[in-house]
Formats: sequence, structure tokens, C-alpha cells
Amino acid sequence: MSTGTGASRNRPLKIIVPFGAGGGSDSFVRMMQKAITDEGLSNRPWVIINQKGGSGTIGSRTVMAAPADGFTILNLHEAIMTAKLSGKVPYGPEAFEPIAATGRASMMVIVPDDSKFQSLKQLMAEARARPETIKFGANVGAPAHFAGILLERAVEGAKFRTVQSGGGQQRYTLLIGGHLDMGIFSLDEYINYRGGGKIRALAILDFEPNSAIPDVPTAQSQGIDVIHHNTHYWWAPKGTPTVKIDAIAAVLEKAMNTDLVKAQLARTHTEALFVRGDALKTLITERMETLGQVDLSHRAELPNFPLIVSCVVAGLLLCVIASHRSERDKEASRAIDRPKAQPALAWAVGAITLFYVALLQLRIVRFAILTTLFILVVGALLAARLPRKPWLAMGEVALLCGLGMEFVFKRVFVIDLP
Amino acid sequence: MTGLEIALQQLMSPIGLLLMLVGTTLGITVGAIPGLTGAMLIALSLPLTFTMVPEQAMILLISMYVGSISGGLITATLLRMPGTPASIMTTLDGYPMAKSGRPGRALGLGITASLVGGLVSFAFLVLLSRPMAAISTKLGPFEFFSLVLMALVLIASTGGKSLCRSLLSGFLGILVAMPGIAGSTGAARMTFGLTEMNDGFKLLPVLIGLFAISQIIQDVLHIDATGVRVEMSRRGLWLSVDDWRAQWINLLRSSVIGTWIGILPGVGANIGSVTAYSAAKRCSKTPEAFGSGSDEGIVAAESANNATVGGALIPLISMGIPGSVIDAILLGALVIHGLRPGPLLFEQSPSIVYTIMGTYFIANLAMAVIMMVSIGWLAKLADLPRALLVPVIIMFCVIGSYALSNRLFDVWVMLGFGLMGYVMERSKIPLAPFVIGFVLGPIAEEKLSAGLMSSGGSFLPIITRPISAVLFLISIGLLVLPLVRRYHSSNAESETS
Repeated sequence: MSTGTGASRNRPLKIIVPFGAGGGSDSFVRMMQKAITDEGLSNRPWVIINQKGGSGTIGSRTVMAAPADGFTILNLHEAIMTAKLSGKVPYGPEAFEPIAATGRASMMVIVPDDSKFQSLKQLMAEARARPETIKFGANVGAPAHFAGILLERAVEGAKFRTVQSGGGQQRYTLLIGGHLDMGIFSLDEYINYRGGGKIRALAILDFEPNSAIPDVPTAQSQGIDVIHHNTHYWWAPKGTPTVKIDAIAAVLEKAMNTDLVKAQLARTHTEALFVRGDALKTLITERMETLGQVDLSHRAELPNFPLIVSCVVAGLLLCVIASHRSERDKEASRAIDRPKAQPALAWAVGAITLFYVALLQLRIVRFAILTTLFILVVGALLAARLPRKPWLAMGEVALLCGLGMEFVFKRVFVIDLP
Repeated sequence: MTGLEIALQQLMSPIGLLLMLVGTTLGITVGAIPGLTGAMLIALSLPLTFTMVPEQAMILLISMYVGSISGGLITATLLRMPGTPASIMTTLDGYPMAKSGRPGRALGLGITASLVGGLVSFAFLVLLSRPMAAISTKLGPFEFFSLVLMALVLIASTGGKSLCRSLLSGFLGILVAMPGIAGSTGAARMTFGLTEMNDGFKLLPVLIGLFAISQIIQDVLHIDATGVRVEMSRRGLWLSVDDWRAQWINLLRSSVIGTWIGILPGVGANIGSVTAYSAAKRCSKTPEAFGSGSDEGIVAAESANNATVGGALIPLISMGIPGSVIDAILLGALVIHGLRPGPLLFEQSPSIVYTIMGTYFIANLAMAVIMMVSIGWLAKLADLPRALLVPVIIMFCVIGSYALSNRLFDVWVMLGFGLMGYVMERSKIPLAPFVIGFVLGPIAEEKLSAGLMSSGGSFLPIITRPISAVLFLISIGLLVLPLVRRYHSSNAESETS
């Protein structure tokens, strides 16, 4: 790698947010990023990359596999624990270095506005009287799903019908469309979405009602003993030097104390919790123990989609091959006056391209030099077959592309070129 | 600040206008050069937008989209080589008219028709997007599954000569989208033990490979192919009042047809212009002139292919379902920028919606002005030495796939799909269904899984829920209809892809 000091100073810190934009995690991280940028708390840009899917496991895998150089970090709430406990992935918090815990959100039980349920008590009674009829939207194995299971456990014999429904936004769309009967949202998400007037909160899963929504009672006050929070954690790849972790944690701590973040946390009624160091490790161990007591393992009975699609592809392929024979005979009889093809030339260009990429992979030659050579060689090869031979222009273009691309991508877009 | 204000501020800022100008110009340029397509340009430009705010990224990409659909008419008219697939119908009348000594008029008709087509479909875009977004919240997992199914079947049944091949292409796309972490269960599958495969194949390398690399292979194979050249003249570039009077019905009809065909998920600009062209021929007083330099032919083809762009943006914005290959890339671009197209886009990021609409409007005007002014220069583009273009494009393909996530794995994936794209084209398997399958497959799977979980594993709701049943029946009909038609007539369908 030829990353000079100049490039490394500008090199952004990438924060992987393993959910789509607009959800609770994303808005929280964007707010932190804004505070860090506005107040100049870090000497490098903080870039947010949304990598959604698999209840946060796609993003967490990326960070787990990222180089432990402190340039890639993960923001992931308790899904990092529930994903392991539900058997979705084999790794949990132990596969990362925790940086800090920032902010703790209350969770809410939400129903569509036109729902027949007026209280959590009613809803749970129905879930008990007619198990598996209430459609409960959750990202299977995620903290919201966990909250649902806690509710089921709190009322003997109650059972929901769990429906895989993706992240907050998608769950909201399904809920207001009448495709779900209830869902668990964070307080932040609830406040974001309730503006539409299409959803209603039945309970808050906290110790006491929140001052923002004083009329929503706690689950405990309705006789259902469930307390469930979600805490935002920041993680670095395992083996990241402690110095780097401390530096990032320090920036996060400063960001938590900015007026912007304080105001925003108050507005979204997220508790301004900040924990780092040994206290953080204890907190994580305790949460793992609490969550581990509940059996989260859930495997939906779904058709084997890859197998079905493979079979269809194989069938269609046979069909095409069969029809190809007869068509070829028909076409052979028709005179085709296409210009003569140059297969040898195509093979040569292909081979040179493969060689070029292989050299890039080995990182022996600088990108600029290699690219200039590549354009010259391929250009010359092709020009030899053409009547016009723009040698001068070719040299200029080759140099311009090699040097120009190296400049544009390395300096402007901060991409780590070989 | 409201979303509209943010959008206007972005659109009217110097950087916004510059991006629009650059995007439209690049789009027209690429459209005018045979062998380069808009899909290629937009896929290659996507990595450049990573550092922009989402509004600016959309300004650049939408302008490119508008420009690239329009630029193709120049080479189609002067060289009889459609610069983009969408301009195939324009060669039929544009080239004969240019050859008979009226190239300026042929180009003028094409450019004006493009502008009108764009503006008409802009009106539909503004009027229909929000109601459609509202309706789409009524669609549950089963309805969405049927809708996606219909889109897949629709592109398969209209995309090419052989239904079997189109379906194969679509299902291959679905299969290729499967490796990685499954949306429904969160478990990794089909990774062949490679950690790189946990993310599956990314849209960008797959697209760059399929469209850019396979086209490059074609270009290298036929490096000495040249078009039939007509000298350019500007005479007749501006339409007279009589022309407007004679063409306005045709303009409106073709634009509306183009818009509606664009809205149908999975059907692109080519089909739009073919349909409008045949409709114009059927309604014309002089159908025999079609194919030998008819005004109406050019107007129908060009207004319709531009109108599909606006039409295709409607399902993209309101439901997150791409209407064409380029829309599939735009969908990917929105997701990369952290936006989820769909009913909530209006509530969550109205500024993006207004930016897309505003860009579409202004880019159409910019396109017409740029083309009118620089037509002589644009006509020379086809003379660019290919020996120069080919290596530069390969380099852009490599760097573009690499920049996505700083890993060469994606570059190898891109090269692999390039070869695959070439093999598919040689076997006359159309590429468009593949891309649509690749994008829609995971959505279909996710929706079907959610549906099955809520129904307790029963597939019945697909046909018992009314909206779902209607969409499902249309899909079946679209599959069966071509077979019936082939049975009834042995006439070969006209090649449309």
C-alpha cells in the first residue's frame, strides 16, 4: 500500500450503520456525525455507510472482517447480541472491541390507529385467548422481536404470530396498511412516525411514563411486567489498538456533551447514557446474561427458494438449448452479411485486461503507471487494425487517465487505490 | 426548511446547475456514440456520487438518464446506427429523411419530439407519484409479491424474441441475487465458503460487467465496423407552426403511450417507442410513408422514448420498483445514499422527491437547448477513434467496481459478468430481464416470506386477496398469451430488443 501521510490524514473514518436510512440507529448516528463535523471534534471526516440487511448482520460482518486499523467502526444496538443468541450468526459482542455505549432508547408497543385494542392488557388477553392470531411484526432475532417474546413470557399462554417485517420504516408501512396487528418501535421511531396520525401507542416498556407522551402508560402499570430498552453501542474490529479505541471514544464523549446532541437527545427522549472502558464491558456482559435467558431461536418454515430457482433455471436452460438447435439451422440458411469478427483481437484484449487486474491485486506497480501502460498497450493493439492511427492523442489520453484517475480517486474521493 | 425549498435551493445552486449541465451533456454524448449506453454511463458514474449529498447525486444521475435517451437520435438519424437501443425506431424514418437531403429537419423533429415527450411525462410524474405512493401502502406482502411477479413476467414477455430465453434470463438474475445473507432469515447461503460472498454479488459490478464489458467485447470484435454517413446540415432544424399543427395529436398520443409504458415495471424505452410508432402508423393518413422518412414516425418514436423516462420514475419513487434497467441503477443509487424509495420517501425525504422531479423537468429543457446548439459538433462524435475509447472504458469499469468498497473482488466479479453478458447476448438471451430479476428477486423473496409467515405457510392468499389475485392473473395471462399468439400465427414477431 502506498498510502502517504497526506492521504491518511484525510482518510475518513467509516461508520457502518447496518440499517437503512431513516430508522432509529441511522438518525442517531447522523446526529452524532453532524455534531462531530460542526464542532470540529475529529481531525478526519466521519462518513456514514448504510449497509442494511440480515438484522444488522451484513454490516457487522463487514466490520468484523475490516482491518483493525481504527478506520472502520460499527454502530449497532443490542441486535449484535440478539443476532448471536437467535443463532443467526455465530459471533456476538466478543468478536469486537467495544468503544462506547451512547444513548438508551425506550421501546413502545404500537398498534394501527383503527385497532380494536385500547390497552396492552386487552391485547395480551386476546393473544392468550386466541394464540397465534395477532400478527406481530418484527425483524426476526432483533431486539424488537425479543421484546415481543418478553411480552409473551409475561402472560402465561399468550402467543403472537411473528411476521418477518424488516426495519422500522418497512414495519411502519405494513402496520398502517393493515398487514400487521402490532409492532414494537423505539420511542424515537414512534415520535417520528406518529405525525401521520395512523398509529397509536399502547404501552411504553420502561420504568415510568415518558414526559413526551405522559398519557401512554407503562406495561408494568397494566400488570405486564416487561422492561426493555435498547442501547446504542459502538464497536471496532477485534484487535484494534487501545489507543485508537480511546481516541474514538473520546470524540464520542465530546459529541455527547455538545448542545446539538443534548438538545436532540432531549427532543427524541433518549436517555443520554455514556459508558466506556471497564464499565462498558460489565454492562455488555450483564445484558448478554439477561438476553441469554430467553430462548430466541426461531426458524421460519419457508420454502427452499435457492433450490426452486435453480430448478427453474435448469429447466429453462434445457428448453433454450433445445430450441437453439432448430433456430441455428434456420439461420444458417439465411445469408448473414455482418462484418467479419476479430476473435483473436478480443482474446488478446481480454488477456491483457486480466493481467492488468491481477497486477493491481498484487499491488506491485502503482495504479497511475500501470493504467497508463494498459491504455497504451490496448490502444496500440486496436489501432493497428484501424485505418486511422491517432498515436499522439493516445499517449495524451493514457497519461491523462493514469495520473488524472489516481488524483481524482485518491485525493478527491479518498479511495484506497493500489 | 421544507423539502421543496431544499430541492429548489439544490437545483438552483451553481453546483446543482453545473452538475445538471455536465450530466445532460455527458448523457447526450454517450447516447450519441454507438457502443456506449446510458446504463453504462450511469453505472460508471455512480461511484463518483458517493461523496455528494443525495440531492446532488440524483441531479447528476437523472440528467444523465435524460441526456442518454435523447442523444441516440443523432447517430440513428445520420449514421443509421442507433446510439442507444431506445433509438432503434428512429433509424427507420430518421435516416431515410436525412439521406434524402433533409438531415436538419429529421434532427429537429427528433429533438422537439424528445422535449415534448419529456415535458408531458413530467406532468404525469408530478400528478401520479403521490397518489400512487398512497395506494401502495395498501399493498401487503402478497400484493407486492404478485406485483413483482408481474413485473418479471412483463419484461420477459415483451423483452425479446423468445419467451423461454427471456424467462431464463430473468430467473438467472434471481439466482445470481441469492448468494449472501438472505433477507428473510438473515442466514448466509450459497457463499461457497468465501467470506467475500457474504454480501453476495453487488448490483454495480454486475451491471458494469453486463452492460459495459459485454459491449466492449462486441466493439473489439467488430472494431472495423462503420456506419453509413450522411452530411450534416442545420437547415430545417426549427419546426414551423404548420408542423406543430400537423403533429400535436401525434406528439400527445405518443408521449402518453410512452409514459404509460414507462410506468409498467420492467418495460423500458425501446418498447415505448415501438408501441407509439405502431400506434402512429395505425392512426396515420399516410401509413405507407412510414419507414421511408415519415415526419410522424420520427415524432412518435422520439417523443415516446423520452416519455418513458418520466413514466418509469413514477413506480421508482412511489413504490421502489424500477421501471427499467437505468431505474434499477437509480434504485441502487438511492439505497447507497441511504434512502429507501417507496411510500415513505414523500414523508421522510420530500427534498429528494422534488429534486428528482425538478431535475427531470430542467434536464429536458437543457437537453433540447444543448442538442439544438451543438448538433454539428455532436454529429462528429461517431468519428471518435475506438482504439482510444475501448481501453479508457475498460479502465473506468475497473476503477468503478473497485471504488464501490475498495476491494478487487468486485472487479473480478465485474469481469466475470462481462463475459457472461457477452455469452448471453451471443445466445440471443436478452440482458434486461436479468437485471430486473436481479433487482426484484430479493424483494419478491422477502415479501413472499413475510406473507407466508403471516398466513402460517399458506400460499392461498396470493389468489384469495383481490388485488393480489388480479396481478397474479395478469402475470399468468402475459405468460400464456404469447404462446397462444404463436400458435395462431406463424409470423415472426418483430425484433424489439
